[in-house]
Amino acid sequence: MTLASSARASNQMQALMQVSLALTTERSLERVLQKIAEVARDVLRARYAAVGVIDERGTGLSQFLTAGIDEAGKAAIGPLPTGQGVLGLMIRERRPIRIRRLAAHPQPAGFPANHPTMESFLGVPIMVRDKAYGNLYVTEKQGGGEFSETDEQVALMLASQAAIAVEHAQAFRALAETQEELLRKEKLAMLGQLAGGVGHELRNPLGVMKNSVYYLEMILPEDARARKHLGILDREVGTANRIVSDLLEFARMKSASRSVIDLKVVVTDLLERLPVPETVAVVWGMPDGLSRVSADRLHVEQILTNLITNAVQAMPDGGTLTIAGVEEPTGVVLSVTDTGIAIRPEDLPKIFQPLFTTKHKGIGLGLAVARDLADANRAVISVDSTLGVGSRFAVRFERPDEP
Amino acid sequence: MANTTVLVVDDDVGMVETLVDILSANGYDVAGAHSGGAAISMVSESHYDVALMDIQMPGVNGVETLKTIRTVAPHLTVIMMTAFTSDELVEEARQASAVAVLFKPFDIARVLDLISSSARPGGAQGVRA
Repeated sequence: MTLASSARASNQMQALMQVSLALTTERSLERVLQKIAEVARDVLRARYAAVGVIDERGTGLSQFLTAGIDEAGKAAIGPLPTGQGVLGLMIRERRPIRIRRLAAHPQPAGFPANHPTMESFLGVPIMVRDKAYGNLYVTEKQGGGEFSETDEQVALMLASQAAIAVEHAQAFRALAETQEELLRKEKLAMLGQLAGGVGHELRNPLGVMKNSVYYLEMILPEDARARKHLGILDREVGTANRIVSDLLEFARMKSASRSVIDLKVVVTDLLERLPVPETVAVVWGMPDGLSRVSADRLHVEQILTNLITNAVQAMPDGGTLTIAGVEEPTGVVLSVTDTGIAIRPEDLPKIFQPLFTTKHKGIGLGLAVARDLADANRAVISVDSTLGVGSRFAVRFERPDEP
Repeated sequence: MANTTVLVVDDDVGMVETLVDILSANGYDVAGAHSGGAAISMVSESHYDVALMDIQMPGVNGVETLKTIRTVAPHLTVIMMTAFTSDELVEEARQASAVAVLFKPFDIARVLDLISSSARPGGAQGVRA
């Protein structure tokens, strides 16, 4: 080994050690990848280096770190396409690419217009086993030469560090999401138990109050004021009891006994029984021939009742209520749309939470119950809302033959 | 003809008081008890035509009390009441030969109806929730 080559080998060793250190000490994926880009540029004696990670949906880059380009230059580069040219090729074919002279125009090679021009190029995919996470590339070998095979080996080693870092980050995020979901479910279960206990406890005193009002109405002379107030008491006890019923409905375990049902029939029957104010126009969008779905009919009716009630309440000055059914690849979607007060974007994620309400009255359980019932029927409920236009709640039911 | 005698059983004192007052004002001879044990003693010592009884009571619960009472007073008409809602309860009450299960808060008119129809020949029939 010559002095020069042993010096180079020692450099490369140091570079790898730096990266390893970063992997175990840095908290953010971004900083690890930034370090890798800098080390790559340094050790491979390139003018520019970049690390890109494709987002999990595969539509764009979730990370893009560079070394050797200043902020202004970096800002001038647009979002990198992932499927095209040289970069896309690396990912698809899972192999490194070394080029002596990249075309003078960056675009045919898959780089955006404002990317610095590149001549010599070395790129490696960032991979773990079979999965490609992105690319590491360096360009413009200093001294005007090209990147060597040794350089390629080094780049591959750096890329594998990057791959480990990305895998870790993704695994941690998946774990955090699962934990959050578990916590949410636990909270919900406890809330349900509390609601059930409280609901039942309240029914005794409500029963006694109702009895008392009855007795007072029996024995009091025809005093208009007394009768008026007894009437008030009676009504309020009724209201309190309805709230208790809502609480108990929310707390009840909702196991679904599913059968094959025709949504159009269910919806038609329900609309005949459900009162809709005159100021609300009902538009019907349920075509004939919609596939039947697998669901518990009573649950479907309850979900629909809650959604329609919500929709009507969002239109205190009247509006249009549209009930539609649409065939989709993964199921049949039943939607309830209103032209009323929309839901603010910051409230949208909370709208199905129990006790969340933007109304002055009511305890905000209707949508929570609707979601519970949907879950019990393996259906998915979702919402879209646009300020100034209205809201659309959609429930996707499974067809009977879905796995 | 003697008044119909009614026994009201509930560990909730307010429930017993209000029902006693209401039923007395409607012409019945009414007594109250606050536990299953007390109810069993009272039924063993005196004659009652109708019992209005809560299901969830500490100690001996309503259904157990009912079964015991049946051995002592087989002709007693029993109406159960409860703050809970459950199909199992209705079924249990029916099997213990209760004539109805009322869910609190219930309509007094319904109670009066059940009691008066039990006093007629043939008595009140069937279990309705």
